[in-house]
Amino acid sequence: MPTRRMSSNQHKSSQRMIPAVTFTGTAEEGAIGPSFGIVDIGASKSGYLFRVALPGIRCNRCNLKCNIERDGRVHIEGVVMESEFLKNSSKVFEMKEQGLCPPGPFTITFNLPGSVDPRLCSPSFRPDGILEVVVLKHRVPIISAEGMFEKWEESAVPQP
Amino acid sequence: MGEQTPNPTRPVPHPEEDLIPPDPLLDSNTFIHIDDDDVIPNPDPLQTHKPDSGGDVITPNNPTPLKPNESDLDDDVSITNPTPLKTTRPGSDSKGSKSKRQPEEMAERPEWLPLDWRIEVRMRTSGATAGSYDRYYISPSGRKFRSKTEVLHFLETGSTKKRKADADGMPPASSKNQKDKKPKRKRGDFSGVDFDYRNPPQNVTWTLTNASHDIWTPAVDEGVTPEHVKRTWDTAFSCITELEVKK
Repeated sequence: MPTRRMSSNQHKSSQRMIPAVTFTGTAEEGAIGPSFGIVDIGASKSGYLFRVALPGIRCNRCNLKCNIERDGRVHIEGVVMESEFLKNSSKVFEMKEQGLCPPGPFTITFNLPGSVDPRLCSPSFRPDGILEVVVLKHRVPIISAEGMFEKWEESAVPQP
Repeated sequence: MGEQTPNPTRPVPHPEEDLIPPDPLLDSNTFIHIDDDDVIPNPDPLQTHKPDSGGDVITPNNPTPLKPNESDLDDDVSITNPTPLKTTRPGSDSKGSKSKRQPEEMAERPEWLPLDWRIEVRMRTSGATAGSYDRYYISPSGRKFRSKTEVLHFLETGSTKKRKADADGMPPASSKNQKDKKPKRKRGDFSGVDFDYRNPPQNVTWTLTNASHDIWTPAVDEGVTPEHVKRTWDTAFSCITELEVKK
């Protein structure tokens, strides 16, 4: 875990088991941008949900990618763009306080609790800057001749 | 979905008047696209005696098959509002021949249609083809189809075929929004999904290709996944997630 300054309530949640999350690029420097790259992971019977706080990169040029591996490894990358406002403003601002994630490329990497089928994924990047992704576990259904689901095949999934 | 057997108790219609050979009319969905086929320029005014029922819809809702003679037909069929320009009895000799089908004829239950389905014959009220009739097949759940091909496909696979456009020229509503396009399946119905559950790729990269519409494009080994493959993934995804709903 990179060193990050955390507000008190975030610190409380860090008491619980939090999977290792690694950052590179500006997300790592983002020690000063506490909300960038914060990850939630949930599990259901059929899959996993992860939520990542990615404020300020919901634009096409941010080139957000989310690579999901079969063994459950998730690798998110993108670029934090420089503020259009600061760039275009006729006035030059001398920054007095910098708490947001600085511009530049970043990656965020973490593991889901189990193996997944990376095709069965429903990513959604909400307008509020939270990336929410559901990925289903890798399981093989047994399907009847009529095409109806019967049950999940047991231990058919080769664990990598 | 299993095969539906045609009604075994269906009486044999009078051959000279009511036997509608299913093939030439129904074997394809041509009548949907070829408007001339549906034009009924001279509907029988004898059938127009229910003008106050306020619609142009014939709905033989009754699952019992239509009786072949006309007086019985009246119980099941109401036709209003056809332009009574000329009297041409259905079945009587008219040079309109087979291609100009009378609404009564169109309301006949075809052999291949399961008994719990309804038929609706609707007259076009506007446009260049006003006065012509369209036939719809309505499933027990209320889903509407325009052709035998579509119905049989639905019965077989439980899913609807993607259509290029409605007869009205309207694109199918589902094509607008990716999230809406999943056909409603029964829970546990995995049929017709060509998905290899056993062998997922090592990894898939999902790229946010349109941030404002939240559109993600998957790629396996740098090769962007074709749209139809992605749709299959979507279907498999919803089949599985449906399993867990309300459990």
